[in-house]
Amino acid sequence: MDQCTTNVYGGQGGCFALMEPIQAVIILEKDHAAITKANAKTTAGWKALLAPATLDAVDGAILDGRNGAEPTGGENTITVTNLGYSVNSGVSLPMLTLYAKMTYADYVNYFSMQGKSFQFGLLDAKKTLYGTKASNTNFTGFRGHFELKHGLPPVGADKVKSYPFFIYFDDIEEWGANVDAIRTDFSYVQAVEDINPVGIDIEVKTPIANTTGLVVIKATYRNSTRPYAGLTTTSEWQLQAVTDVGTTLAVNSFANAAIGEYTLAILSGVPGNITGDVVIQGYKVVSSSIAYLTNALTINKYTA
Amino acid sequence: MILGSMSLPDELKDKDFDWFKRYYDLTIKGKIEETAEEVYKLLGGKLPDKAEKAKKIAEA
Repeated sequence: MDQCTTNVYGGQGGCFALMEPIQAVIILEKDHAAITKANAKTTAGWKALLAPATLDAVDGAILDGRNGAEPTGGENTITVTNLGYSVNSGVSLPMLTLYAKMTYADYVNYFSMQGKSFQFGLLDAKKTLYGTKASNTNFTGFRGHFELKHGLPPVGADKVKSYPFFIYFDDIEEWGANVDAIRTDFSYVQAVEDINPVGIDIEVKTPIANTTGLVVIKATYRNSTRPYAGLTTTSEWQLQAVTDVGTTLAVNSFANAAIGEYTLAILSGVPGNITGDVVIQGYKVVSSSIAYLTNALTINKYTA
Repeated sequence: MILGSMSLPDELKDKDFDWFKRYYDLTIKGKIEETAEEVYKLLGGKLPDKAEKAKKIAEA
């Protein structure tokens, strides 16, 4: 139930600049590691959350909204009663349609997150980061979820709308007077270009072999044919999902890393073919941050 | 651990040597010069003593 509170008058400033459009959205896991408001003002602070030294510690990503963002919702619903009075009977939930600047290879990585609950930080064109006032100490994003577009690509001018994120904010109480605007040290351009790891595409070049579990993977810079040579160490590969207990992964050969090829040995025993699909991902740490990150790739079990 | 153009996970040292030997024969043998015993030791694994090995053979 709505409650009225004490009136507070805060004076009148002399600057009448309008709000800037949202240019980037930070997607954060609900249970992300805490980030103080002081750290949220710096790219280093966000790197610790979005590109830490280990893959399991990654708590989100930044979406580049430079193709445009359209806010809707947050409007008062005015109902006229049978006596002719106008009454505010509710406020619609805010929504943001963000047309992400990315490739399809980037976009498909987000389908696994559809409909799940996240926190969202919103960064505008003039270094302001929007969150909630839930904490005086730590940055807290708006609770919400997003949906993606299935279907065929648009044509003509609408092609810039190829990769929309329909972000629905779920908690109206976080809005209005509870919005917290933080002045950051970085621009949205720095945010979208300097914090996310560089995307690497991996694909199966030679399917998994019987008994030995050897599978050849090809790695290239995202949406290019340029090979990526930096995944030579076993610790730079991770089994993200396995079917069998005791599944092992090793880089059996990186002799052809210069052309982006790696032979991995994936086994559930010795010998022991994996009995179901596994999901792998590769990442490269540079200066204590993940600098390169691959898509998650499903390796199908061996079938004769 | 890097051996030649191979990168072996350190966790292999935690497997017993019989397991590792099968792994070696399956995926490593012929690709590097080192024997299974040498690789296992390089990883930090502890080779079983001969008496223990003989006992296992006898029991089998």
